Amino acid sequence: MGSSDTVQGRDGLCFFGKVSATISHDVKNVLAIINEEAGLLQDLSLMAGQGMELDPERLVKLAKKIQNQVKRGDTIIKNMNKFAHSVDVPESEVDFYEMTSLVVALFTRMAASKCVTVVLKEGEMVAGKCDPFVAEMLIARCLEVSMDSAGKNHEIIVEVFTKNSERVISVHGLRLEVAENDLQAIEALSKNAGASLIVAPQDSLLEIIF
Amino acid sequence: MAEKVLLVDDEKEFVEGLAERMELRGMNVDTCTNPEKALDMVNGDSYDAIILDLQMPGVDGIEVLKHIKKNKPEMQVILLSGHATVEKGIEAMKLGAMDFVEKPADIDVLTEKIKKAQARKMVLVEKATEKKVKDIIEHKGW
Repeated sequence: MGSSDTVQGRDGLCFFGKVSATISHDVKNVLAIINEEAGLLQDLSLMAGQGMELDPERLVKLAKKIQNQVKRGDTIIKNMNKFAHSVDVPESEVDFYEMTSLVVALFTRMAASKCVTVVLKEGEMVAGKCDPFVAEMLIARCLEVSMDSAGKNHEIIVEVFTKNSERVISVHGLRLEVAENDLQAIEALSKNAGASLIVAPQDSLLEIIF
Repeated sequence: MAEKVLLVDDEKEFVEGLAERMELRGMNVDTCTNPEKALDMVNGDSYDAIILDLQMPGVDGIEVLKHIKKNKPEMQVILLSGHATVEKGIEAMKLGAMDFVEKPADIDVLTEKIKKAQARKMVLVEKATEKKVKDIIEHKGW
C-alpha cells in the first residue's frame, strides 16, 4: 500500500481543489489581459478604418504584450500538468529541488494574498524517493504555515539541499509561534510522507527532512 | 457627461489595457493596483463607478466593498473576478455591490453597467441633496 492510501482522501482532494482553483484564477487573469490587448487592437483598427493614423510601434508593443501573456499562460499550464501527474504513482524517484520549485510557483498567488515574499534559493538536483503528491502537499502546507508565521510584508527563504544523506527542505523567516492545530496537521502529514519535521520559530526555522 | 470610473485590480497590464479601451469610449478613468491605496482614492474623490477585483494581495475585494459602502454609499461598485463563485457574488450583492462580472469581461457589457451605475449614483445624489435642502428649510425659521 502506497503512502497516498494513508492520506485522508478528503484532505488530498481539498489540496488538489485549492491548487486547481488558484491555477484557474491565474489563467483567467492571463485571458483577461489578452482579451483587453486584442480588444485594443480591434479598437485601433476600427479607428484606423475611419481615418485615424495608426502607429506601427504601438501595434508591435501590443503584440509583444499578448505574446508575453501567452508565455505566462503556457508556464501556468505546464505547472498544472506537472502537478496533475504527481498523483500518477504512489512512489517514484523525484528531484526535491524541482518539486519545491513547483510548489513555490503554485503558491505564488497565495503568498501575494498574504503579502509575503517567498524566495527559493538557487540549488542543484536533490534526488530521492517519495510519494510525489503527498510530498507536495506537505511542502505546500509547511509553506502556508511559514507564511502565516512570517506575517505581512516579510520574506521567507526556502533552500533545498542534502545533509548527511538526508534530503532537507528548509524554510527561514518564521517570526511567530506556529498554532498548535497547524503544527499537528503538518506533523501528521509529514508522517504520511515518510518525512520528519523540525519547527523552531525561535530560530526562524522550519525544516522538512526526507 | 463623461462617466468617472475607478479601476482597481492588482494585474497592472489588465488595468492599463482596460483603462485605455474605456477612455477610447469617452470615460475618465483612474487606475489603481493597490487595494489600500484604492481606499484612499475612494475617500478623496467621487466616482460614478468603481470596478473592483475580488481577489487582491493584502485586502480582499469584499473588504474594500464594505469600506466603500460604509463611507460613500452612493458610489456604485461593480465587482470583477477571475473565479466568480455564486456564494461570493451573492455576498457582494448583499453588501451593496451593483453588479458582478466575470473575467474576461466584455467591454460592451461593462460599458452598459457603468452607464447604469452613473444613472443610479445621480439619483442617489439628487435624493441626498433634496433631503439636505428639506432639512435646511425645516430647521431654519424662515
